[in-house]
Amino acid sequence: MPMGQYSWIGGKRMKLKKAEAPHLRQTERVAYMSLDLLIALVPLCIFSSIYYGLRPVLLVLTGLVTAVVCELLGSLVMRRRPTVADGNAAVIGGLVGAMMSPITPYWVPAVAAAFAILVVKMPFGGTGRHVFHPAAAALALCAVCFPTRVFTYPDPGLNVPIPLGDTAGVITALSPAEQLNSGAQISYHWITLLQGNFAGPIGATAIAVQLACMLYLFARHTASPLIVLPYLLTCAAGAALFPRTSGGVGNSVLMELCSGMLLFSGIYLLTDTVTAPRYWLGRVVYGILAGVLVMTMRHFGRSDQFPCTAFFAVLLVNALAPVIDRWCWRLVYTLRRRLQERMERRAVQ
Amino acid sequence: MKKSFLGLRELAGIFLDTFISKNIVLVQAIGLCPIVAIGINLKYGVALTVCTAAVLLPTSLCMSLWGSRIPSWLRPPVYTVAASLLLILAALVVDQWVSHELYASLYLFLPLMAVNTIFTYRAGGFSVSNRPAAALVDALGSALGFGLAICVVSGLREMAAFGTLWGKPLGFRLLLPEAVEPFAGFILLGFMAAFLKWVKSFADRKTAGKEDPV
Amino acid sequence: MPVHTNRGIRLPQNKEPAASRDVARLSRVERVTLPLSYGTEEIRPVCGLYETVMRGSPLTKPESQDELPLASSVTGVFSGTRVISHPLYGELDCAVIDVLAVEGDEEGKPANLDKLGPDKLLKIARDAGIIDELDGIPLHTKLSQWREEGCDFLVADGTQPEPYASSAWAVLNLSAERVQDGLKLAASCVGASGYHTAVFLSPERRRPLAQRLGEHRLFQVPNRYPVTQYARRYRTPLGKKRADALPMSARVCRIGVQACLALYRAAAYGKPHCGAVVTVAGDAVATPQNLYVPFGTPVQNLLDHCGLSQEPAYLILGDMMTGRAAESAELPVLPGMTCILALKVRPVTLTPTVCIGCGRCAKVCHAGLLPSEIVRRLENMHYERLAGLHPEDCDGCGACSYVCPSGREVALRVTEAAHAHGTIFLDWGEEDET
Repeated sequence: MPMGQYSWIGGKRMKLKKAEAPHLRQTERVAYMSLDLLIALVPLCIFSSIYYGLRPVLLVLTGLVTAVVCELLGSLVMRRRPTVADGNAAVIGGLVGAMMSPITPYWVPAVAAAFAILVVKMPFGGTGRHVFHPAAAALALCAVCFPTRVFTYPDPGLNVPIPLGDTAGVITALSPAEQLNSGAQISYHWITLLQGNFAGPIGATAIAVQLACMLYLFARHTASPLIVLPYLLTCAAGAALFPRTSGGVGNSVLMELCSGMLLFSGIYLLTDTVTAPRYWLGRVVYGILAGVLVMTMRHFGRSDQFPCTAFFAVLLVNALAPVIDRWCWRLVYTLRRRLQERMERRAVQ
Repeated sequence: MKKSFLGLRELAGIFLDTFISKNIVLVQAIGLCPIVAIGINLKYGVALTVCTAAVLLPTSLCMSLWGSRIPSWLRPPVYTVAASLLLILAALVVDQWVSHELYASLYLFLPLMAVNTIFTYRAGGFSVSNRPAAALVDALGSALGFGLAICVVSGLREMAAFGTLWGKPLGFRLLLPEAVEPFAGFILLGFMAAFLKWVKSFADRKTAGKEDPV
Repeated sequence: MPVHTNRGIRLPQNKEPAASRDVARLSRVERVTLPLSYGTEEIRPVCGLYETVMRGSPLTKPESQDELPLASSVTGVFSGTRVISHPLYGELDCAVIDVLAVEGDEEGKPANLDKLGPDKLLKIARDAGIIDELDGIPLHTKLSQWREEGCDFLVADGTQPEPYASSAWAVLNLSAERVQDGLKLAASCVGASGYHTAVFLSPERRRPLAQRLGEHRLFQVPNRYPVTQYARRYRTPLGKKRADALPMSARVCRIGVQACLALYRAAAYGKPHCGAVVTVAGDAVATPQNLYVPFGTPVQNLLDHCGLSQEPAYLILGDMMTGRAAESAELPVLPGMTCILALKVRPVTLTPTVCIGCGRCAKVCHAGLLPSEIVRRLENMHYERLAGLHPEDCDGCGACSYVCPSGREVALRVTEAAHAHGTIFLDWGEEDET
């Protein structure tokens, strides 16, 4: 196929190429968005390693490496060009690792990440085509298959690094989510919560760090505030209206928002661009729906078996995302059309 | 449209169509409920297959013979009642002569078979507009297609979850007790559907290559 | 009619140094190629072979009153016809004229413009062959349509928000008053209650212009590409009511500044619309500048005049966002072109990857569409479900492609969908029959 024909300009013969408009593109790339998410995971790992030693970092790395290897394998089997470079697999693996408990055995994040990539992501067509968030699905698998290994958290108050190998003797503590589920009256000081000095998953404890990462992702336009803020506000409203612990509305809201993986899911899982709606109103509705589901599951779910339910909520709204998106778009489009028609009618009169 | 005469080749075509290339479970996604819920044991799988065949064959035959005389709004209740009657018979047979334990563990899903979409779809749809021979072959293909899916799924799940096949231990160490959960059934079905699609695309490419040597 | 919202993107501006240089006239034009018709029908030229045609004399005789007589832009010898494939207009039947003289603009005394009625103005616009450079539509067509449908406010669009083009600024800098007079004529023709000139300029350029035209006659558009707000509007219940603001229901129409100037010159001096100011820029051009060229001049004459610093790989007719790449430099400059770029490299090129659904295209789409969903349905061949997404509202501004982090040709696909929905199935059906 000829790429172009020769032209004479200024006495010189030159070849001109074909190209489609626009000829100008911004420099932002998909890989940068994945990089943003990985960068936003780093502070969480650092904070966790301050409390528990090097083990959390190794767990996250296990998930990450497994996911990348599985992605390569999947691309090979599907005979596609490997899509590791876009960083999506690394992010999924990192997220899976960050949702583990610091004393989880290393094979659990490996199995979960492999499940995420080989069952939830690649069969649906790889990056950009999966329906459910692979990391959320992997956590759901862990919650169903090995709940004790994932939801048993070490006591951070001891300030003793967890051994890298066998973790049999580590002293465990109940996480706020489990305490809330058991109906205990709990109250943490807000500074303790911000520091993350309570039992919980690797990435989901240090509230201050998570909020800072959230602002970073907002500023980089990688995560949409239109999803996260309605989600958090709905959860807060649910906690304020139906408190599960004493100590006033403020305590209830604080405890509900900071316990479990509620905040982490909102920032890292819900905002995943592939599974979330694209339209602004769709995103708002999606966030609200996720919040309602999380709070409903906390109140009526089988909390004895699943202390964390945020990722189930994420999976459920994932399934609804395309429908929400289309309906919301159509609603706004129709309303705007009507408004304009009315304007034109008024202009004619 | 009823054809006046059906050759052996056409019958075989109908059978292969419903059995493999348009497999009722893996391609048309019909009758997933019993597979996902109860297909955890090869014995159950075989029992359900036999029951399905025992109910689907007579129902399809009857619908093919007299279905067109019944007004279309009356057909669903008629074949549902017919299927339930047959199922009661099958359940009695399983309970009395085969095994009471099997019946006890299957007891919820046997009656549910009566309203299974397989019957609605095959007996209510295909059979009515086809000759008895075609309807019978189609019912056999559907039942066997269903059986193929449920037997593979239940066999794999039995091996994974209990380390046994048809109740006989296989001597595995690595057990996945979660394989009895419904989600494992869904995932297995998904992969089987993908595998079937892959095989079909492979076959399509071969035949296309034969017909059109470019 | 699509509903436009105030979305869009901010583009980098590379108007220097072309914008600061004076508008030059092309020193040497040997031969011009002028279209005989923009439609598909075959039209015979009225003049014979090797006959001398005067500047402004019609080359064709239109059959109906609505069609524009296409006039010669130079004085020269008609030396045959040829067919060219133009990236903006498609296949065109063209007349080739060997230039004898590109006449200068000796202008006499302006005619009295006060007594011109709307019909007279429309006739002037038609006889002068004025074509609006914004969209390539004849000015008299636009004006007569607005006159029938009603137009509340008329805007001379000198914005050019795309990176390189500065020809509108050059025209305004040279003859802002005449542009405004032409705009005034057009406004009186369509019965608009007000008019102003919309620009997108730095404060130091805008200030002298505002002094020349009057503060309330110059409107600075917001820094958004594409421009959707050509006049200040107020929302009755919310915004503060300003004296110069229009109600939301007001219908704002716009014409290009060069068309305004051409209308004035046609009305005052009886001059035909024979040429345009075109920005020649790009990283391969040695001296980027604005050139006044007669229509039909081959692009390579413009490039020769400005000089090339390096060998261009892309020749773009139009600006970075909406321009079409041409594969030949022999194509003529036609009405509707205000910018020509010769590029060594496209600033950012990348291999397209799959859509990750970031939603940025939906965020910047000023027509309020869902470009990613349109592209998905097009690629999945769900043509029958395309119509519900209204791809026909797209005006091809290219903002969605600009922001796409996967580097996909979103705008191109949406345009395809706009042309495709509903028709692809029919095409297939016809193919099957044959």
